[in-house]
Amino acid sequence: MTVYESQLAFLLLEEYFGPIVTRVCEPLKWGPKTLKLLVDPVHSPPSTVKQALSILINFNFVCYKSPEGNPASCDYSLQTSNILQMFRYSKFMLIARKMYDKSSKESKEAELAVRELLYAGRMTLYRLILKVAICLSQEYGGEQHSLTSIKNVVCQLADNGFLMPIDRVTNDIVPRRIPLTEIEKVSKIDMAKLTNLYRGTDSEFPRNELYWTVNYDRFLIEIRNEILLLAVKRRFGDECETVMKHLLKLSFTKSNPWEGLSSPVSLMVLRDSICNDPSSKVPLQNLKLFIEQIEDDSCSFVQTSFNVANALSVCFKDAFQKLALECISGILNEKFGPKAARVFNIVRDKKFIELEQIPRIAMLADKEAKQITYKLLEENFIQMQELRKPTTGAASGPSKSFILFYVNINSVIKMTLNMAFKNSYNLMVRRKEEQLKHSPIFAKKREADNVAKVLRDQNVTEEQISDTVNDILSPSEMSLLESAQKVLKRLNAAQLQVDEMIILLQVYVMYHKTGPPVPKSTKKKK
Amino acid sequence: MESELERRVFESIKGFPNGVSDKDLSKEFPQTSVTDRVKAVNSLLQKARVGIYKLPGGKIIYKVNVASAPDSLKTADNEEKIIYRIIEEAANKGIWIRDIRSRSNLLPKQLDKVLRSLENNKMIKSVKTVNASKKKVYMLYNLEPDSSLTGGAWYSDQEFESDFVDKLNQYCYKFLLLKKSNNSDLICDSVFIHNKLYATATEVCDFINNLGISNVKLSEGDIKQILTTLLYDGKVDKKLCSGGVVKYKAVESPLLAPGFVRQPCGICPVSK
Repeated sequence: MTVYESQLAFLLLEEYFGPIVTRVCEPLKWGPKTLKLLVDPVHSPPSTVKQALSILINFNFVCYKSPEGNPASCDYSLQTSNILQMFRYSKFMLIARKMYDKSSKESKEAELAVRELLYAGRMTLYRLILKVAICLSQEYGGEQHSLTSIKNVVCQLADNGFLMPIDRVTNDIVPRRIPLTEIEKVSKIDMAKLTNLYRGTDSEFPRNELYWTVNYDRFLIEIRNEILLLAVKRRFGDECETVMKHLLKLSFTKSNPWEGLSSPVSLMVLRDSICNDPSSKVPLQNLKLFIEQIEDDSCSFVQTSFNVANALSVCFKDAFQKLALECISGILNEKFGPKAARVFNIVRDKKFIELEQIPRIAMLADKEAKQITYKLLEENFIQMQELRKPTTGAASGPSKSFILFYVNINSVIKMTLNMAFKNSYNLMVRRKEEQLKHSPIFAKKREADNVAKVLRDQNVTEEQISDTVNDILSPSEMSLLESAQKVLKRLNAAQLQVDEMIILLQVYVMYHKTGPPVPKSTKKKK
Repeated sequence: MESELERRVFESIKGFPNGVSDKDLSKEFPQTSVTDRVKAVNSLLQKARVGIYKLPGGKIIYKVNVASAPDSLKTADNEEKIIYRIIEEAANKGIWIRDIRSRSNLLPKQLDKVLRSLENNKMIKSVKTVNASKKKVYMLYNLEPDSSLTGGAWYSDQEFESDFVDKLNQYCYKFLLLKKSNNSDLICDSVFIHNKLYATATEVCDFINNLGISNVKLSEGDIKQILTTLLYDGKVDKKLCSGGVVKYKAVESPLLAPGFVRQPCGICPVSK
């Protein structure tokens, strides 16, 4: 965890959970602590600290564990990565929604189910289904909704691994995927009881129910697939995207989803899958051609399986290496110009290269190439290695040394990730600043909205309502409000874009944990 | 008048393009006495038909002078003749002044004088190299410098022409892009794609030469260099086809510009 990562997490906590919870988390940043050690630095009564901890545990932001050999004690530790998932809540909801048809009722139900579960941290399935039903009836003006349909959607989400049961004793998320029938066995949702609860004739929830939470990892797999699909679409077009979509779907059911190279999918199965999809417009006679196109490209998204005849595998590891490098190139392109990106790619491709070779390959003037190379070196995008020729005896002349440039991809990615966290942090601070600056106008806006709502309930005409609102907010204040809202919207969008980049790089890091080799200093000869 | 022996000695030396030592020459003429042979060789040396050279090991060899010296050299003194021969040997690659000094064993001051006089008489010229801008090399006046000295098509007056290269880079990309956009809807079969979306360096080269944007005719190698830069820019992808032919295709980057640089902080030069 880097400094900016933790700063960002604390800023998020403060915004959504308030100062006390943040203060309780503060000491946890340095490592696991017991309750006693937590109470002292926080300067709050133990009951408050306990309450804050229980909230944090509820959202899986803090986990607890007894240290080995001392079952009476309990260590609390912070899960920063879970806190940062808060940025992705909107994405998760969208993914849940996309599981069903765009306009169908189920898509709304799935979105609400994920939303409510994210906002509550953890819930039993009874409460979740009820909550979704209440939200739906509120949204559609008191209309009653079929609980069976919501139950089916929630069970389907659980079946697909988007929701996870939590172990009651250890608080661990149960890491296995449970098939639908199992879930029904585990939580045995009693529809009669549920209906009674919904109608208000029964107020007692069943006891000893399992708690469920959102499975971030499963959502991350979907986001990863989306990144891949978008890349394929941009590079090869819509038909190839459809082929890739089916390939990803088939490979997901066959293998561990985080494997660097998916298990091979037979071409015949792929063909059948595309054939059975009514929405696909891929001409099947050209299927092989589309696959060839994706396979031949330098991105290496897929490869023919070596073990199984006529089968394909998705190369997640290689694909994300290429995408992460494209991302770095894109940053260099915008930050230092396209020539800097070219020099970076050359140094990376040649592994170790002397300064004199760079202008010749990059087709740049010597001076320009030198400037760019040293700029990249200064900004730590490329590294330098000096190779000294060993002196043989005292009589030899001045020792000659060669300077080679190379790229340490993992460290570059790490640095970029850090910059992205810092960037995200800056954006949040800026957003808070904007909110504070325009707080009077936002307060006025809220007041106007409340008045309008009250008037609307009293069946006052729209004309009169707008007149009243205009009395509260002058035209100049209106335009100020509009511009402030625009700025906030832009900042929010920027935050999401940065987060997309963070996801891409984090997936890369997940796949590539060992570093590239470093040169052996004395063996190199010119 | 050339004697019979002189002619035979000349023919014999001519038979050794890398030069022949006196010892080997004596083996060629076992019947002739030393005095006669020396006389013949001296006469050839005087007429500048044969040169005498000292190898690094101290061994002395005779060698036929290939090009006859220009008329103006006939009036020149011995030092000038020696320097001229050394420079002549270096051909269009040129020779560095320090190498001339070590081979001729002349003092720097004297060498400068000789070189200046030869340059004034337009017998030799000095040429700057692109690899080391301060290093001057000498070659015969009528020779065209080698491309390794001038840098080929990309240099004019020892200056790298960045603008020209950038323009070529753009045109090559445009050509490949045009090829792609014209044919992307017509995917019928594999062969068709290969022929229509991909282009070889020769095709690009022909296109560029027909455009007439370059004063010099660009070779396939030159265009390959340009295509390599496009490859590193991520705008082009290459593919090895049957027969070892490399084909190029314009491609779209798989990612949008990362969100990080779409806002001020990402491209801020002072942010660390």
